[in-house]
Amino acid sequence: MSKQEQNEYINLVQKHNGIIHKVISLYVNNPEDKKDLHQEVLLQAWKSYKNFKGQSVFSTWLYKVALNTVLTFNKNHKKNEDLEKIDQMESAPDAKDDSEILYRIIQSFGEVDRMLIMLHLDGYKNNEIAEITGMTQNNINVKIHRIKSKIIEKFKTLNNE
Amino acid sequence: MNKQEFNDVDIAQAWQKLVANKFSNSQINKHEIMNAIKMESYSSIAELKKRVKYKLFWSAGFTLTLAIILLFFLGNMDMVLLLGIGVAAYAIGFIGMYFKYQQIEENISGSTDILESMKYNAKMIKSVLSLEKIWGLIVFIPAIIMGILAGKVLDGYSLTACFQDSKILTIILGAVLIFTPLLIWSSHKMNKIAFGENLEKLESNIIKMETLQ
Repeated sequence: MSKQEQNEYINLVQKHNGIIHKVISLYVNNPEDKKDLHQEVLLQAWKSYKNFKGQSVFSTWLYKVALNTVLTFNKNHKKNEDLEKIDQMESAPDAKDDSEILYRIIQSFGEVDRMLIMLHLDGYKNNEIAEITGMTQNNINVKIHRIKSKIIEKFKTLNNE
Repeated sequence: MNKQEFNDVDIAQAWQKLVANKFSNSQINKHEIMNAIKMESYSSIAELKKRVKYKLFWSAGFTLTLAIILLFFLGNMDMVLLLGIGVAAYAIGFIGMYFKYQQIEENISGSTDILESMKYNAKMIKSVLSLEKIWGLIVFIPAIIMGILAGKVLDGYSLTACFQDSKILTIILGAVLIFTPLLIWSSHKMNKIAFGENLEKLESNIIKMETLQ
C-alpha cells in the first residue's frame, strides 16, 4: 500500500481508536491480553484496509473488524488469562457509579449479548446491527429486548442488596 | 445507585458516561500503529495456516529424502517399489496440504459480517484438523509398513517372500493395528488442546446468533 494510504489509515485509526479500546475492554480483562488483541485488531484492519473502499462508514467497518478479531481469537496461542474470565465475573459490588455498574453487568454477559448491547447502545439501528453481525433483525429485536430487561433486573437486584 | 427503578433512558445515560470516561480518551501514536501492523498475526486462521505450512515442509522433506534414498537402490526393484510407494504417499500429502494452504484466507475481512466470519473460521478449523488427521495416516501408516518391509528387503528377503511370510504379515498387521488408533487418539488430543476450546466457543456463538437461544 502507498505511503498516502498508510497515512490515511493511521489518521483514521487514531481518530477511531476508542472503538477498538471499547470492544477489547468489554471482552478482555487482562492487560497483556488487551495489548495483544489491540495489536491484532490493528494488524487485521491494516491487512483488510485495501478492501475498504469507503462503501461503509470507517467506524462501522472498524467495529466489524474489531468484533471479528475478538470473537474468533484463539486464546490458546500462548499462555494467557482466559477471555472467559470476564464471563464469570459478578457485578462489582464496590462499584458506586451507574456507568461502572453497567460496564460490569455487560462484561458478565455472553460474548454475543455483549456485542449486541454494545452496538445498540452505541446508536446502531437494528437493521444496521443485522448488517454488521449477519443475524436476522427479528433475532436482534428479541435479544436486545431480553438483554435490556436483564440489565434492568440486575440493577434492581443490586439496588435491593 | 440513587434510584429504585432503572430504565432504558438510564441505561443509555450510563453508557454515554461510560464511553466518555473510559473509552473516548484512548490515544494511540503513529509508532504504536506501525509496530502493530508489522507484527505476526495470532488469529486462529493465521495459526492454522502456519500449521499447514509446517506440514507442507515436512511432506516436501519426506518426499525429497525418500526420492534421494530411492536413487541409491535403483538396482533393487523391491526397494524401488517400496520407496516409490513412499514417495507417492508423501507427494499426495504434499499436494493435499498445498491446496489447503492456498485456500486459507488469512485476513479477517471487514466486508463480511461477523456470523459469516465465524462460520468461515469454524469450517476452516474443522477442515484443516481433519486434513491433518488424514495426512497423519498417509504419512505414518506407509512409514510403518515400509520400515518393516525395507528392513526385511535389506536383510535379503524379496518383497514377494515378505508377503508370503505369515510372520512378517502378522508383524505388519499388529504394528498397524496398534499404531493407527494411537495415532488417531494422539492427533485428536493435540488438536483438542490447540483448537478445541476455540472451536466450541465459535460453534456455540454461531448457534446463539442464528437462533433465539
